[in-house]
This record gives sequence, structure tokens and C-alpha cells, in this order.
Amino acid sequence: MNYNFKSMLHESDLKTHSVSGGLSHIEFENASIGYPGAIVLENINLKIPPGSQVAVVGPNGAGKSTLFKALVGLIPLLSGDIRVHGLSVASHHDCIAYIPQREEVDWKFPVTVRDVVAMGRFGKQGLFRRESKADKEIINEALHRLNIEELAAKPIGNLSGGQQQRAFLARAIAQQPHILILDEPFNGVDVNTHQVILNLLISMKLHDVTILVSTHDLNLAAEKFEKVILLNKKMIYFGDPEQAFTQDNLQIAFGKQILLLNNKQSILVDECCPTEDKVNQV
Amino acid sequence: MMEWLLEPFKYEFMIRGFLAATFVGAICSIIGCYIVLRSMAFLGDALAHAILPGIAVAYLLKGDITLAALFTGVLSALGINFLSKQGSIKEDTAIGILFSASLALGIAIISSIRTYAVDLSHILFGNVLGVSNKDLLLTAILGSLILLLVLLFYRPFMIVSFDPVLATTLRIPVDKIRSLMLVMMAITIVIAIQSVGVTLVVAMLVTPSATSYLITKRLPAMMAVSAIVGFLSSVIGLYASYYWNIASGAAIVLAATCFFLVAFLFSPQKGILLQRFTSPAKKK
Repeated sequence: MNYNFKSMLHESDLKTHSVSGGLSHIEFENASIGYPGAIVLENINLKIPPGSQVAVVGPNGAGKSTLFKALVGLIPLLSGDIRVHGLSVASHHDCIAYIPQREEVDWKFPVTVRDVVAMGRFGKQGLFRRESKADKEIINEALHRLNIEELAAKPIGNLSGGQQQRAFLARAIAQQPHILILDEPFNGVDVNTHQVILNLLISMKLHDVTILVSTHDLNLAAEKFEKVILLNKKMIYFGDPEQAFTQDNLQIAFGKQILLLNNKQSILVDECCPTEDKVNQV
Repeated sequence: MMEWLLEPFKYEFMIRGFLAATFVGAICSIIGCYIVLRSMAFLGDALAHAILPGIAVAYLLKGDITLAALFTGVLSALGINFLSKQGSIKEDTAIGILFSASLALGIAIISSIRTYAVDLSHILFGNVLGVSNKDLLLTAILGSLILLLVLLFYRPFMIVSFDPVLATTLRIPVDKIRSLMLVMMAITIVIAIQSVGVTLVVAMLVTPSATSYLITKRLPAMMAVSAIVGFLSSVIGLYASYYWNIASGAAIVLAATCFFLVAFLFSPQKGILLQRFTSPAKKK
């Protein structure tokens, strides 16, 4: 019963998607996220319109991953509200595709690249239905778009970091999401994969998919994204990239990692160390 | 040769033993794949020992041992699942406490029975040659149920094991699926205790699947090869037991261990010997 309602929701969403441009797609209202006694993010207020491409920026431990995990329901909401399509997070089936940081996956599991991509179809198939012809086409298309067709039969553990990242992106595409969330997708990938991911983001834009990407690459955030979220335990800034990286904002976000020079031009050093990030995300 | 192979089957108890051991060997090895992949060997061991008090009480009250084991097994599975969710002590510590406490309680109860030594050794080390027709039927029913569940829930089990984060975002009920897997583990352990006993159950769960893990690339293949290894180990173990007069459970486990050693040394992808020979060549 619940399930049927959700799938109905999906279809109506798809239809009204392009029409209702003004509707906010993702909405955080006074959201505090974390665990009792260990709040990671406080009082987040955000309204992200559909089809936006958003870069999430902040120092290690700022709560970037936490923000994402709350959005997919992996970390509890302590107070406030998070709504997707105007509904609470728990009432969504699989319209959000989320790719966690690389460290969070068991690479020794005996699955091939194709198996991994096929998992993206599960939400559409339900518990007992087999892979349909349409599913197969979608899986092949996803493999093709990430240029990993020839790796399809290889065990996921035998791939390079960039190839593994592409396999997971292919899975996210196969999921046909309305919202795509990538946690540090550019971390430790080769130049080739870097470009493939950027191309993918552009093509997702054409399909009106809302994209949230966390990154330590501030230039990338400023140049390739429409909106920037600057985060450090709290929301510091949300809006166009042009006004995002002001000296004040950066100083609040990065604190001691920022170096102020005499002529008031600042130098920012944001070092990426995912292990520290993980400690904070529990 | 033929005569040598057929001789054990002159005895009805040997036929029943073969049927029970091979079926149990295969089922254990299939469930064992999830145990190996999710690093739950310790949990499996704990579960096997947690069943002991239930068996002991059934012995004492002359009730049905398998049913009692089944009851305590499922109860312990859910109990462990509950304990592991509490944050106050670490999971492996909690399991360790439960595991040794159950073993102690079981032995304490059994030691109050007069025929203590024999009964205890059957429970600890198995007695596959003492399998009755009723036991065999129950094993067949429970084993088939497990197989059916493995087939039906193949993909949710795989996704929950491989990537629980994806499972959560796909709204798969991760907790319920995990509980179901634990209960299936408990049932498997109960039917395996008859053939290999409480102490060796873990070997039947882990060794064939670890062997298979070394030589296969995909989960379905891993399960199939594991089942074959478990089946063959049981056959070889029972022959060894018949002709050399070794305890059957121990013989089955030793046979499985031999398979594992061969795979560990000679597996094309993960074997240590072949890698040693091929890897220097690759470097050039």
C-alpha cells in the first residue's frame, strides 16, 4: 500500500518536473543533524530548486557528508525538517542516488562491475521481480556513458580507483534519480575520470537532475557549479558562486586554515584528508 | 574400487548419515558465503554455542532436541542482533560474553545428567551416524526452507551485504533483512549440529565458502562452488570415518580444510603460490 503510493508519486513527479520550476526540490528547515549529544550540523536552512547543480564546500569535519547522509536518511534528524518534493525524507523510494566516499565500500565483495550497476535497478524492480529487457538496456546504457563497457565482467575489486568511481556513477545513473548526491567524487581519481564525471554532470543537467557534490576543489566549485553551499557546522553561505568566496565567508568557514596577507588578499589552504572526515561522521 | 565405494551403503545408518551430512554440508556452505563476506564467523560460533543450553534442557526433560535447538537458536539470533545495536559495549565483547556464558550454562546442565560424557560428546562433536528418519525429514524440510529463502531474497541479501548504504537509500528494510539472515544462520546451525557438532559448526559454515571465495569472481558462482565443496567434504569425511574409524564430524571438517589449503595455495587469482611465481614476471 505504502509502496504503491510511492510509485505513484514518482510518476507524477516526472510529469510535473519541468513545469513546476518554482517548487523547491530539496528543503532544509531549521534542520539539526547528528546524534543526541553529538550534533554535527545546526540550524540548516536551504531551498534548492530542481535541476540545480550545487557544490558543497567546507573544511574537514564541517559536516558535508553528514548533510548528504541526512538527506538520504542515513543519519537521524534531531530537530527541524528536511523535505524532498515537499515530503519527508523517509517517504521517498529511490529518487535519490547517493555515492558515498570510496572508503565506505567493501571492495573485496565478489561482484562484477555489471552486478554493481544492476543494483541500481533494484528500487524499480521490487523484491522478487527479475531484470527486465528495459532494465538491461538501462544498465548497458549506463555502462556505456561512463565508458566502462569493457570492464563489465571484471570484479569490482580489480579496478583502479577512478574506474571504481565510474562503476558507482553508472549505478547511480541506472537508478534514474531526480537527485544525485556525490561525496568527494573527484578524490583520488585520474584526469580521465575527472573529465568523465564533469561531462556526466553536464548531461544530467539536461535531464533536470538536481546535483549535490562535495569537493575540496574551490576553483571547480566556483567555475562549474551554479550554486555553492559553504558549510562549517552551520550554513555559512548558500547562493551563487560569485559571492560565495568572499574573505569574510572563507574566514568563517576555514578559520585557521586561511592566511591573511598584508594587502588583504587571503590565501586559503584546504587540505583534504578523508580519514579525519570519517571520524566526524561516525 | 566400486565395492570399496559401495560398502558403507550396506548399512542403513550409513545411508542416512550420507544423506544428512551431504545436504547439511551444502546448505551450510551456501549460508556460509554471507558469513565469510560479512566477516561474521565469530558471530556464527557464538550462535552455535548459544544453542547448547536449549539442547541441554531438552535432554534433561526428554523433549525434542532439534525443536529446542531451533527455539534457542532463533532466540539467540535475535538476542545477538539486539545486543549489537546497544552502544554500551563493543559488539565482539558482547558476543564473547554471550557465547561463553551459554557454553558454560549448557555444560552445567548437561553435567547433571548421568550419561553425561557420551551425550556431551555427541552434542559437541556431532553424531551423524546416529541420525534417525525423523531427524532426516526435519533436516530436509528446514534445509529446503533455507534454500528457498536464499533464492527469493538473493538480491536484497546481496545488496545489504555489499553496500548497506545503497540498501538504505533504496529503502530496503536493512534491519529486518539482517535479522532474517541471522535467523537463517541459526536454523542452519541447528541442522548442522547433528552432523558436525557445536564446536565444528563454524568450520562447515566458513571453510567451504572461504575456499570458494578464493577461486570464484561472482556471488552465485561462489555459492555454487561452496555448496559443491561442502558436499564433497561430507562425502570424503564419511568415507574416512568409515574406513579409518575417525569421528565423522572431525573427518568432514578436515576434508574441507584440505580443499581450502589447495585453493589457498593454487588459486589462479588469489592463491599464494601462483601469485609468487607470476607476479615477478608481471613486473617486467
